[in-house]
Amino acid sequence: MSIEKVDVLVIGAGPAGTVAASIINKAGYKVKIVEKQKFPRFVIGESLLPRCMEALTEAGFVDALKEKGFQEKFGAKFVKNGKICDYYFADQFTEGWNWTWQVPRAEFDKTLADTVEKMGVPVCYETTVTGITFNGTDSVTEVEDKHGNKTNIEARFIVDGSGYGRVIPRLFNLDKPSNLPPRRALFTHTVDLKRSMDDEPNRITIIVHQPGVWVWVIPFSSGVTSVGFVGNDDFFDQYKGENEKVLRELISAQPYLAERLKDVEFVFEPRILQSWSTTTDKFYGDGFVLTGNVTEFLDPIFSSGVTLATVSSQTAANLVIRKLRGEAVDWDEEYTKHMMQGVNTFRSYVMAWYEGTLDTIFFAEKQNYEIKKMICSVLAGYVWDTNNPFVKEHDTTLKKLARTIELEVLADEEM
Amino acid sequence: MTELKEQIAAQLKMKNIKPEDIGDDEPLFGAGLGFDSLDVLELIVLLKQKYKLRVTNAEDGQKVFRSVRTMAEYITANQVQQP
Repeated sequence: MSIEKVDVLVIGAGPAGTVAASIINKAGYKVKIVEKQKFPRFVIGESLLPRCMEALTEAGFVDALKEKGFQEKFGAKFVKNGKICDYYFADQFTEGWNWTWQVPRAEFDKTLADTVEKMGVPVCYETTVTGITFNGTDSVTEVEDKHGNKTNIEARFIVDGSGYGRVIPRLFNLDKPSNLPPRRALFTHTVDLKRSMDDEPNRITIIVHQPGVWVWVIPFSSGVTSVGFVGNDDFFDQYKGENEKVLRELISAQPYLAERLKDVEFVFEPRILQSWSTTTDKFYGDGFVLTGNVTEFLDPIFSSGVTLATVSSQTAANLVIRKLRGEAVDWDEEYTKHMMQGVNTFRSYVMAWYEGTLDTIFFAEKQNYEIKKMICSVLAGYVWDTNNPFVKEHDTTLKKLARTIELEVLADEEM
Repeated sequence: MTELKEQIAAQLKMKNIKPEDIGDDEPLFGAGLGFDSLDVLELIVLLKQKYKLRVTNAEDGQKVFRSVRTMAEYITANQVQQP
């Protein structure tokens, strides 16, 4: 068996893996990426948030991405029974990026991987991790390519950005269930010829279909629009038949989309993704760190996936560099607690969304502009700005605000 | 006043304080029971729904919501005036 030596082995060539690989490579270390699949490959998570632009900038990816002409995204639009609530990232409390992109991930991820490869990081596709042995922080990882050739990779540190592959949590039994109930998404890409019916395409549209069920509408610059319904199992179990039949039935039952997407061409047979919320006991260990979805993927509602993936990799990469330089790193404080601050803020918003608390706030008759700016910053992914009360007290502020809105309506009503 | 205390506890969904533990003259705000602006709204809605009373300006509010006794006095005084 052949043996290879690197400073850092990165598992996974998605946004988490490539951001980490690029930052560590730039610091002068020898990095290698192994990726199970062949790129380009399909994956959901097509809507980004402004905060991830900071991670993509530090990784040196922004120029290559700009050349691709992806659809720019300036905000989010929420729709419920004909009512519309718009959030523009330019109107936010935290200072930061006010735009991002909406991307077909096959092309986006391939661009990141090609760019990191040009920077000098080899990316080995169709290569699977079959085992890892740690000796202190040093490790030997056995990988197998598609021809069955095995290689041992000796590394001083491993970054696991394997996403749903969950390489290290599976090998070392670190998985545990998330506290969010299981949900399902049914989605496809559509040839959206009647896009101009709506005020688009420079933002994501989220439609409240019924309590607990919502629809994403994500237009790409190619003219294709991603459409997906998300709900719990009980909702989807009411519908029988092929995925395409069910999705067409759901679209025709949604007034906001029925006319625009009537008989629309589907780019592929609609797919189902379910039970995506898995978490893990620990985000790091001697000689490894987990970044991206491999830590915890919450829910697609606020497009937090790629942002948490890239920001966790950005943070972890800088800690790995310090570790390799022989400096002390408090992984619990500087990584786990920091990431959980962001993850738990989004978790509160995900829960508030499914409970209907955010509906009350988004579609209130009277809107408080200062509060709207604070919530906008969360929707833009600035979930580490604890000067924002809607970040700092994420678990209580939304409920209080929604109750205030309800009471103000009651107090104003005629007796 | 006992009934009013029970109504307040129910409206505010108070978990740690029992209605009978609220003193008649105990300040509802600040060092007393520590109610906040959201609680004021709850009390305004309580007076409106249970007693058909509308407290609209902030000055009235400060006097009315000082304690359970001031609330009770306000209810008695204003309900009498009603036809």
